[in-house]
Order: sequence, then structure tokens, then C-alpha cells
Amino acid sequence: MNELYQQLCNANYVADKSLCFSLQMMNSVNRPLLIEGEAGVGKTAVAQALAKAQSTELIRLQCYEGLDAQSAVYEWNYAKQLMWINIQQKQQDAATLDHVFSREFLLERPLLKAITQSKAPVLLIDEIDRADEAFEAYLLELLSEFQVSIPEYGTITATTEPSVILTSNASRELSDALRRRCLYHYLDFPDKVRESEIINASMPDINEKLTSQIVQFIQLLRKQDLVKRPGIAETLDWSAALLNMKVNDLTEAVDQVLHSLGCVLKTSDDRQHINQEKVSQLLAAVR
Amino acid sequence: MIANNVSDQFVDFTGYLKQNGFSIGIDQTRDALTLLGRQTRPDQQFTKQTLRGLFCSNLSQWQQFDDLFQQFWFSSNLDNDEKPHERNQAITRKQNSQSSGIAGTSTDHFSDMSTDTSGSACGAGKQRTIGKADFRFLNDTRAMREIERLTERLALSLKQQKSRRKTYSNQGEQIDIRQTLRRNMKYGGALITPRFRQQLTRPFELVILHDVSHSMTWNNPLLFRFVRGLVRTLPKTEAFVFHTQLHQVTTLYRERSVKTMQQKLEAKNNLWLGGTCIGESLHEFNQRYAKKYLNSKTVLLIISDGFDTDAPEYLATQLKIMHRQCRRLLWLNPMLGREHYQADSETFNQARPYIDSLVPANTLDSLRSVIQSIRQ
Repeated sequence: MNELYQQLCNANYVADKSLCFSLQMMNSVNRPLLIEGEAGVGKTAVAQALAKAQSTELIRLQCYEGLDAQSAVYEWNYAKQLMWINIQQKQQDAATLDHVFSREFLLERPLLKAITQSKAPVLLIDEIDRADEAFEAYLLELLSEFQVSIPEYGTITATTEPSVILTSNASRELSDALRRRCLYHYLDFPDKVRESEIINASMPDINEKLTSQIVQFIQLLRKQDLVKRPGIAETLDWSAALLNMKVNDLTEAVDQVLHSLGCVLKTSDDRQHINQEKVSQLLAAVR
Repeated sequence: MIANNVSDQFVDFTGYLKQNGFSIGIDQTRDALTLLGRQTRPDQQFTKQTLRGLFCSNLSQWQQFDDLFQQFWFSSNLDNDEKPHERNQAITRKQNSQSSGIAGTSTDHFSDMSTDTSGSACGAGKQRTIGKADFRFLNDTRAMREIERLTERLALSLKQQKSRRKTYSNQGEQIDIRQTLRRNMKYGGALITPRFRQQLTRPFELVILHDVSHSMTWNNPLLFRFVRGLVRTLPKTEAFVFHTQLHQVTTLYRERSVKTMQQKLEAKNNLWLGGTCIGESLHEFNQRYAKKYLNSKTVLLIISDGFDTDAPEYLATQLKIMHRQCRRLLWLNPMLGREHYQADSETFNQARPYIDSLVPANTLDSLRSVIQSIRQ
């Protein structure tokens, strides 16, 4: 497990022990891993880092309402099929129809591509909660058997089984059938130590005191009554902004803090809630 | 392989988790045994993390798992222990029984719903139209009929909802190239029979939770007719009533005769005996019905004045769960349009982030707006 932790660190992802454990278990039992958590806690980044760590390709499928098999799994290349039929028109025989439904005319979309690679890739099915229930049902065959059935062609079984990571913001309940086929991991906001490590891994130039202050401020901010609590992505953006503004000590840069809060507060309600007075209070609590 | 007695204990543990709402299949059990069997010296941490990843399938199970693991493997008198969720429910019930609330014991509710015209209108006649008249002043037959007719007419516009998804047909506006080519492949690619795509329509899905506590007494006769109109027009509507408990009443509303419906509702007279525990009732809905009736297409309608004896945080938690599972959450408050009404600010402050639309429901016109809101 330490090895995986180190590999992820090398890929600029500081994972906690529990996440390393889940990733290792995913490889041991060859099951997809469903990661839930608030937006911005690094769910998508896990897959990117894992692909880097395993030196393999990352194949990503972004889910949305109305996503169907033609966009996610396969599509026939109709233009090519038509051209081929026209060419063969004069010498048409019984084999023509079969031939146009061969691999030569099949366009691979992310899911099919993921199971036909020579080296097992990392397949990221991002924000599965945005897809329809019908698509979720379609995924079941792939997730449990690692195969895809195409009516005109037959069943394509995986040449290599990809490491599948599904992410969800829990905007809707996923079906039990899907959950049952997956391992589950809930990714929470990081604690102070881990968040400091994440900042240091992304921005080696930042000084220790500022890192500590940023982390304390963000952790206090997450305890406020906010519509959208800042995630790790916001912490990193804010750190970069402060570094750019040449801030070395948060407590001495109230103006810069106020001006740069747009990096971490993403709604007008939150912006109004965290006003100058509130910022001063939070900064007073930061050492 | 792990020893048999450990396997037995392990099976007991999965049984214990199932009792606590976990859904564990044979595949998960087999994988867990395989993983644990591979370890030469499995420690507590390893075992817990392995089983948590395999057996949990949502956040609440993830949060509950550590306690259950600890209780099962390290508690000597498990059988005597009260399970956490039972303990929570017991505490809530106790709190409810202690709080007096705005509770009433009104069993004369249906006198207001009566079709008898003798009690007509303390003020309805003074209104220029009944559309703008407050429900407090409308309890005559005409108003009852009007509201149901209006609701049914308005609800017809919701009957079929256009989906973003497309379906294939032999006629339509937009030719589907893929299907057309596929169908005409047998003619060597000559386009003889075209296929079209058209927008899929599906029945509108609505779930209604109606507060029938004492504080809603004046509003309910007409709101009942409103809900009945929706249930009868939209086949995929489910209706529930609640005060301190939740009851499913969809089939009662589908009764053709108002009189029969009234009799059957009266038979459930205990509905109108309690105060108001909105949080607890919504919790019951989330536990028992949400999975079945809520999905990303459902519009959830809560009809209540918001006077609650449960803690506002508890209500907010339940609304948060519901909000996540439905398309839109609308709260109809019959008190909103009235003078001198002050919403329980704490309750609504906590609940507001999870309510997509908070609308008045004290006049026929306001209900018309409600239908517009549902359609959005």
C-alpha cells in the first residue's frame, strides 16, 4: 500500500490511507470503485493520478442527461458502410451485408475503447449521477462482465480489464444494482495535515507559514454556513493566487484576502455571508 | 482459507449488517472472504477497511459502518444493545410525546369538507370572484367543485411531459440517419423507408405530501380537492398525508365518488388526532417510500404551513435527502398569502436551501400558479 501511496504522490496526488486501501482493493477483486463526495474533493483527480501512477492511458466518459450507447459505447460508421456498399453494388453477394457489420465499420466510443486496449487503462466514468437511469442499467453488463453486446455484431469481451472508477456528486440516488457491482468509497474534505501536503505537492515554492494559514482559513471557512463549501481545487487556486500576489503572511494581507476570495467562494450568497467583518474574524483565528 | 468458525462469525456479521439496512450479496461476501483469506495476519484496521469498501454502498452506511463493526466484534452483549437507529427513533418519539406542539384533536374535519351547502361561505359571496378568495372563507359546494374542476383542467397540461430523449417512429419531423440506413441496408443502401426521431413523452411524476394537522384545518377541505384533482388526472402521482405519522392515501383519492372517498378517509380518523411532526414524517417517507417513488423526474410537493414540533435541523436534514432524489421540491404554504402571518423563521431558514420554490396556496389563483410552477 505504501508503494501505491508513493506512486500517487509522484503523480501529484496525496491520498489518505483509506483511499489507497480502496484503490488497492479495486485491483485485487477487479471491481469498479464508486467514489462519492462533495464537488471539489478530488474524485476525478484520483483517476487521473492512478493512470499516471500505473503509466497507462486514462479513458474518460463524462456523463450527462441523455447520454446514450451511441455516444458512450459504439457507433457504426454509416458513411463508410454506404460507400462500401456502393463500391460493391455491381458485384454484390450474400457476404456484403455481413461484412458491413464487421469491426472495420465499428467506431469505438470510450467504454468499448476501454475494454479493447492491449494495456489495461483506467476508465473514469465521471459524474454518473448526471446520466439517466436507462444508461446506468446499460452500464451493468460492462461493470460486472467487462463485455459489451452489439446486436449486429455479437459480444465483445474485454481483452484487458480496465480499472474502473465511477464518480458521483450524489445529486440523485444511484440504483442498488449499480452500487452492488461497485466497491464504495466516500471521499471527504481532507484534514489539515493532508491539505497542507496537497498544497506543498502542487506548489513546492510556497512557504510553510502561508500554507498553514491557508489551510486553517479554509478549514474554518468550511465550518461556516455556506451554499458551496470550498474544495481542494479551490484551495489550490487560492494558494496560487496568493502566491502570485506575493503574499507571505495571511494576517498582514487582509485586502488581498478579500480580493481573492472569489477563488474559494463561488456563489453570491456565500460572498455576501463572508464579508469583511467575517474575514477579519477568521483571520484572527488563524495563527 | 479462513477458519470455519471465523466464517460462521463472518456470516453472522453480514446478517447483522443486513438487519441494519445494508444490502449485501453473495458476490460481496465471497470477495470479502477471499480478501481476508489472502492476509496472513489480518489486523482490525485491515479487516474494517476491507469490509467497509465492499459492504457500504452509500454515505449513511459509510458513516454507520464503524459503529456497527465495533458493536458486533467488540461488544460482549450485542443482543441487549439497542441499535443506533432504533435509539434515535425512540428519542424522537419521546420528544414528540413531550412536546405539546400546535396539536389538536380535531375529528370534525370532514364537517368542513361536507357537500352540504348550509354552511356556505362566511364571506365567499362578498368576493367578486372565488379565484382570489382565501380558503378560510370558501367551504361551499361551489368552491369545492370549482377547485377540483380547475385542478383537473390545469393538471391535464401536465399529463404528458416531453423528455429530452428521442424515440424512433415511422413518422415525425426529423429523419434519423442511423436508423434509416440500418433499415435500408437490405435494399443495398437505397433509402426506401425512412425512420424518424421524435421527442419521447412520458407521464408526469408527482409525489404529494400533505400536512393534515390541526393547524391546517381551515385550508384542508379545498386542498384535499386540489390533491384529489391531481391524483385523478395524473396516473403517476402518489399522495401521502401526515401529522405525526405518515399515511399513503393514493388509492383513496382515486375513488370515483367523493362520498366514498370521504367515508374511507373518515375510517382513517386517527389521521387527524395528532400535532405536527413534519421532520419525523418526512423521515418516515425517506425510509419507506423515497426509493420507490422519487427519481430524477419526480416533482415533490409538500403542502404545509411549516409549524413543526421537530427540530428545524432535523427537518432540513430530511429535506436535503429528498431534494437530492427528486427533480424539484415545491413547498405550498397556505399561510403565505395572509396578512399578519409570520413564518417560523428558524424552520424556514434551515429548510430554504432545499426548497426549489416556496409558493402560497391560499386561493384558487395561487393554486393556478402552483400548476405553472410544477410545469416548469
